[in-house]
Amino acid sequence: MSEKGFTGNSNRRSGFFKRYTDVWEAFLAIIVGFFIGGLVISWSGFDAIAAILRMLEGGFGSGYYLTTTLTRSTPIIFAGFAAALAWGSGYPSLGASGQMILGAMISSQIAISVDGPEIIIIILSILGGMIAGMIYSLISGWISDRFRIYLLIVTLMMNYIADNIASYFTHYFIKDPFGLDSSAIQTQKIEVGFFPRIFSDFTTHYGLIIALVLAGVLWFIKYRTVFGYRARMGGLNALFAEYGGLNSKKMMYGVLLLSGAMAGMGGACEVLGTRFRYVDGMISSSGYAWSGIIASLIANNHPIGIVFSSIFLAGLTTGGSAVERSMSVPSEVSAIIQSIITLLMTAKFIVSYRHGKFGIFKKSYSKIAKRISSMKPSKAENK
Amino acid sequence: MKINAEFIAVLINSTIRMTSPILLATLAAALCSKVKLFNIALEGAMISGAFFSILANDVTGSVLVSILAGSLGGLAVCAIVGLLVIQFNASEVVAGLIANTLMTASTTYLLYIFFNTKGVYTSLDLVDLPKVSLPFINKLPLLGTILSNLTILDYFAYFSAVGIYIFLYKTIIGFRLRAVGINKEAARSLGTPVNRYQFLTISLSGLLCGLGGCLLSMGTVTLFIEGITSGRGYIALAANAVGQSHPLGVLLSCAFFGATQALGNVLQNTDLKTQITSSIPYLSTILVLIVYSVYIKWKNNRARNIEEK
Repeated sequence: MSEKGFTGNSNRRSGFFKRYTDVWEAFLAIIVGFFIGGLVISWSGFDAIAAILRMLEGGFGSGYYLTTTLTRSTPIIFAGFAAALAWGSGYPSLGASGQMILGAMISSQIAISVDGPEIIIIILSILGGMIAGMIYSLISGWISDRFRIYLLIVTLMMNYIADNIASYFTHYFIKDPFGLDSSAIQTQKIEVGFFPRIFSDFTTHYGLIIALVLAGVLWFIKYRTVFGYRARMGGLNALFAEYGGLNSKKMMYGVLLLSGAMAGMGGACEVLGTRFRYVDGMISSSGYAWSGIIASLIANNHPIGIVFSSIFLAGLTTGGSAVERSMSVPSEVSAIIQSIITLLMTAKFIVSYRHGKFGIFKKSYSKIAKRISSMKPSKAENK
Repeated sequence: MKINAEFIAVLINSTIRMTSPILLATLAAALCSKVKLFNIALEGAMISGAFFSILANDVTGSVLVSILAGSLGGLAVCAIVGLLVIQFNASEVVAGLIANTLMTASTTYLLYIFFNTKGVYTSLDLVDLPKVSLPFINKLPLLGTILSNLTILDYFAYFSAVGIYIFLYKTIIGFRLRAVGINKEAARSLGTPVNRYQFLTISLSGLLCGLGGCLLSMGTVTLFIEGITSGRGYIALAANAVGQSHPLGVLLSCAFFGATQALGNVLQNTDLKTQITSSIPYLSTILVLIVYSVYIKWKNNRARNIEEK
């Protein structure tokens, strides 16, 4: 690496390392994340290497594990789309959880109550879930826009409220009247009109196919249409986009509606694909929405990237429970590794390194710092 | 449920106790917004404070050490977020949110490693925060009820609101700190080390949150539950918006949020379903923000009308 290569603002972007900075950043973050996770595991008295290998095997090792991972990744992909749409357009919304919950509940009710051919039931039920998500997203967006409140805070509060609404309805109105186990807070099982499985032996269902198709559609919308271009520009620099003639209000509602639709659809697919009913707390306790946000952050809001990052995160989670089963390491270790990877990625260490941001360590680790600073042209520290 | 003077006194007492953890977190949020940082990691810092104070409590059995451990636990979370945000240009929202999920997961993990349990940990060996009993007021009928069962940290929370007000508005360091928030470039041109100010402020906010977490886990009952904060860090952000980041304004808005939580707790004993009572704090957060925004709009309109006349 020549000395010129470390000047951050050089326009010439050639060379593999420089060109794919994002990919390298993700790769390094994953390695360091696993390393720190390993340190945590071995500090708590377990065999770190065996645990991490078991985690990877439990996530992606065999056909059974891989399909379990894919099943788990399906709602995460949808939540990731929802997050990517909102965050990538400059409207950071955390409402995916609440929208998924309501989408799941509504779609289960439609699937139970509507009679007719299977395909019609499925379509209606997905549509119902989408509309529920859209309406809930619209409410949050309207409150945030009309009263100038942080969208983050509104959506967070709306998540808690949605969880309580769904729990209330499942407890008192739509609880399965014929269930053998009266303590289970869940609706009736859907008898006709759920997704068939892709492979007959494994749980992976057609929701994954829908998600993959949607990834392509969203990619097209984002990078090949005027709407997507405007949304991206709004995300990059809202003021500049508005100056360039963007109607940011219209944009916000459009983006939030689409994002709510994605989240609601994710909830519907989870009901139609894996549980076949709405169970109280099935969305909030499994943390799909949070994983989706993390997936979208890792993939830098790119729809195709989200598919991969979601599968990766889901694999870590299923691997985490495998580790808990066989080695009694708490499954939270996978969440810890996920968070560390994301934290490392948000900091963009490679870019910071090129900009000489590591200067703060100079005083304490002067030797290493001297070596680093001899490698790069020193820039003003307080930039 | 009988509504009489004694009942209202109990309700006020419960409000005071509910307010203090939120107040500590909201003061933290207020400090951060004074230096133009949107610190969403309050929730994670509170969980961390709650956990580490219980851990230190279990290991040493000393109240002072557990308060110290709790505050340091909170400080560490916010300091890491501050480092990432200020030095490495990470997005403050993203870094804060991830710090929250990290702390939620790692406290559950550590709970299992140290106490071999998942979900809840409590033990008879744990020491409670000492309750302050005032010599004469204790005997008075209503005031005695209102001020009963308050711990030292409760008093600390209210005094720190006044302390932070004096610090921000009556000292030179506080003046410089506010200058950083008003105009970063101007403050820098006057020789204020902006990054250092921001970093120290966010660390201080972590310390306050850690104390808030300590109050949650050791205040009324001494135990640690997964997700013990139940969104208080986020509610603090809302309370900060309503209180306009002013330490004394924040005191009022927090009192309101504390009252809604106390009310939610009281209503649990009635026929109302738990789902309704447990959404009261969140619903009222949104409602208060709406009412506040309408009020500001009305005030601005009135000011404009008077000017036009």
